[in-house]
Amino acid sequence: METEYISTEQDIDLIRSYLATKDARHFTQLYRRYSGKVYGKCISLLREEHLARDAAQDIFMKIFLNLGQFGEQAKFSTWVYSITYNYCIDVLRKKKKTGDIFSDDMERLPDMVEEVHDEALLTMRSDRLRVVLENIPVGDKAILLMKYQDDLQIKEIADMLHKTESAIKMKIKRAKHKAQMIYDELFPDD
Amino acid sequence: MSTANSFKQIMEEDALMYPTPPEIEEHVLGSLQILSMMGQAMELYIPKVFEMFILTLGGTVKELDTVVKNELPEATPDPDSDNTTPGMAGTHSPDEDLKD
Repeated sequence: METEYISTEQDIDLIRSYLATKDARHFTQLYRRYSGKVYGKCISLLREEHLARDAAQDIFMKIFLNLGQFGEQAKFSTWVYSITYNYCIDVLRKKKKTGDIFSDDMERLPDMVEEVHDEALLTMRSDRLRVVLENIPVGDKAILLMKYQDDLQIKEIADMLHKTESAIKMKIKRAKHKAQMIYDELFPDD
Repeated sequence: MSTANSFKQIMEEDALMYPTPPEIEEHVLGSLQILSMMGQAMELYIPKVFEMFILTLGGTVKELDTVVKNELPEATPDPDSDNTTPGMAGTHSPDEDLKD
């Protein structure tokens, strides 16, 4: 079956096939592979279904229109997530009329936060982690999702957000600390 | 080492709670088809527009011939060339060689 054959192809093969043939079936495969993840991320960050729907449409149009510029140095999934996060961050910035949600202001503060081990976050009950993520600033939430949900490397996050690797490490450390503080406040008996 | 990851569990739960609305696929793939068709139409008509542009600027038939020749596939014989392949149509007929 042709469909089954195509669905097992690597992302990069689908991209090359699409660029060579302009056959919409190849892009459709890519769309179906990533639509759930992109829409889920939009819902998670934007929190409103109509905003998430519009964002997902625009993100896939951006992906389609820029597919020829996709550099094969990065994984396609990383490129897709980069477009998704940057788009959602931009929407939030415009909606809240705030500046950079990953502002460097925090970096000027002394580094006094305690290191929270990854295990503490990764093993939280998912319903509680969900509540915690809703109660921390969206920039912190986004950076934790990039690191622990999408398994992005520090360098990839730094490139995506146009920050230095050390700034990203510090942001992750602070975001973890905030998440742990919120968790302790909301679930003190645990 | 534990493989538990509540972040990924949330992602899986979200995928079940918020399935991607079908209108996104309709919109994206519909736009893709329209843009592809526009691209094909442009590929087809841009050479014609280019010819019209040359004519508008007072171009000659020879210039148009040059444009057309450049668009011919490599295997197509050049009707103005003396180096035509024997047996193919061209100004230099192999019959002339026989006469000599």
